[in-house]
Amino acid sequence: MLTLHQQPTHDAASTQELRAAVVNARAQVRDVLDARERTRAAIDSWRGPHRDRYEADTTALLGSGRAVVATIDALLLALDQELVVVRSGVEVGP
Amino acid sequence: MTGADPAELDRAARDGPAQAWTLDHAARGLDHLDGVRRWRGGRHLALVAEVVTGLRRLGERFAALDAWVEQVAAALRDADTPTAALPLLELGVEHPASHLVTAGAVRWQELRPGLLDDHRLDALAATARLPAPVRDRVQRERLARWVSRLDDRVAAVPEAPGWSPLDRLATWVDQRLLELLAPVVDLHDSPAEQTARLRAEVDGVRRVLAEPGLAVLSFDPGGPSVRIALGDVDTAGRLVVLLPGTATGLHAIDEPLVDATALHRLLQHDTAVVLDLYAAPSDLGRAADRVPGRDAGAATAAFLAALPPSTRRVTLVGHSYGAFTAAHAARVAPSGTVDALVLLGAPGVGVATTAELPVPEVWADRAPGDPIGVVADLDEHLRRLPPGWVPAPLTDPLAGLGPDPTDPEFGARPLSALPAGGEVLRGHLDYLTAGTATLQRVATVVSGTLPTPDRPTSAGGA
Repeated sequence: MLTLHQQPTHDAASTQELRAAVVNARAQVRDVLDARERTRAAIDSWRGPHRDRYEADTTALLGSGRAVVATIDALLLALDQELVVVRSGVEVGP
Repeated sequence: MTGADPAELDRAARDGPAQAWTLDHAARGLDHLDGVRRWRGGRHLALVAEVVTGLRRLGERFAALDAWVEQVAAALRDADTPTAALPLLELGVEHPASHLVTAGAVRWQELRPGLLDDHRLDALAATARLPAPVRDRVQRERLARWVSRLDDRVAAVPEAPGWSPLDRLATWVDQRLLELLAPVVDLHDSPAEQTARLRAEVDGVRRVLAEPGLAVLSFDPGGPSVRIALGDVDTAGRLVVLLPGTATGLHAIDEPLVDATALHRLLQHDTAVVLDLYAAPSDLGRAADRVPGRDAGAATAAFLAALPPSTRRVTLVGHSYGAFTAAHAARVAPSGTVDALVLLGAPGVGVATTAELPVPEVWADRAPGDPIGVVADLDEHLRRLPPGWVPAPLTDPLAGLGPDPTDPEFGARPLSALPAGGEVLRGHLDYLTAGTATLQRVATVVSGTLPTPDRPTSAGGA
């Protein structure tokens, strides 16, 4: 929200800071999802309804994780295309 | 089914805390970013907030999954004692330790149902594969706890003002009519009736608990309903399920139990007689309602379906309203489950002919002087009356129980055509009384020894 009392000024440091944090979060969540995939594949002695539940829950959570990654990618795309410019105290979109 | 290696499951859950920390750390990195926190709004701030929320929720859900996996691993690791194996049952886990349930009778002997909390006791009771002695002990413990609570309820019921003439009238009116009149005048059970019924239920439970020869198969406090057996249900080659009629139940156990005992004495070897004390309608007026019979019949069918696979011969014997219940059970049971259906003094069983009953043998009997014939076909007679002559509730397609099953058009085999000695019964209440010809004939059907069941060898009375 723009305020009439404050002239927006470009704040490149804030934008870069945000981008770095987003890239970091993306790498971390990808690591976790990959580890989960590996764990799921590694359990081979488990059969029966409890295994089915584990599979179903893990699949659902991996899907949620991918949705988070997709949101992060959308944010990064917006930042890369300079659709988001962070100015002190104010966000200005296209 | 194959069990899991607990160590393998431990490994699966091991990295969970570190992963949860990683996701939370990433969320904090975004949430606490100074540049972001200074923002005052905007579409992209919402996007960042969405990512933060998503990361945190993901961490929490993975942690919950890991907690469950750890619980399974712990249960598997310690499952060499009966009480430690209980979590396996609650978790629905299949594991070699589950063999305790079916083959480890010696270990299960160590189980003390009295030490379990209600939740675990109910979970154990719901397990279909318990060996008979364990099942009996578990169900008896549940009954004992229920009756101790019932005592408190009885004490809480206020003193009765007594029966009104309208109460008496109500016993002869259809349940739906009762519901119509309910806003005008209270026709439900008086406090005196409620108290008497609760006391009778307490007595019924104590009667069951006092009979060591009875196996308690199931107990549902909701009805309340209880299923008890004479003989070994799991192994007997011949299984009979008795479904008594109106006004029976846990509060009126004596007569049905005497009947079940008489039938079991006649057959004895390789036979189990199950007495299915469901929540039957409390009086004839309410017996026009099909709903209690349908609910109880479905429960009986589920009970039969859950029995271990066997070549046993299964006969359902329904008396009075119980005949409707038995017929419904036969209709909804898995195909091939029920071999014979015996309908005694039935007011109607909800179908027009035996073609609607997927049972190889359907037998029916009505004793001379049994007034139930007045009730049979009642709904049909009422529908034939001119419009407006019949109260609307009784024109409901679900009111009444259908045509008379002893009518030749129904297609049931006449039980009275089977040869039998003994006393010829009269009236509505003595079909399974010891010494009667009818009881002998029912035993003959149960035994499955008729050489040509399609053609009974001679005509008989009763």
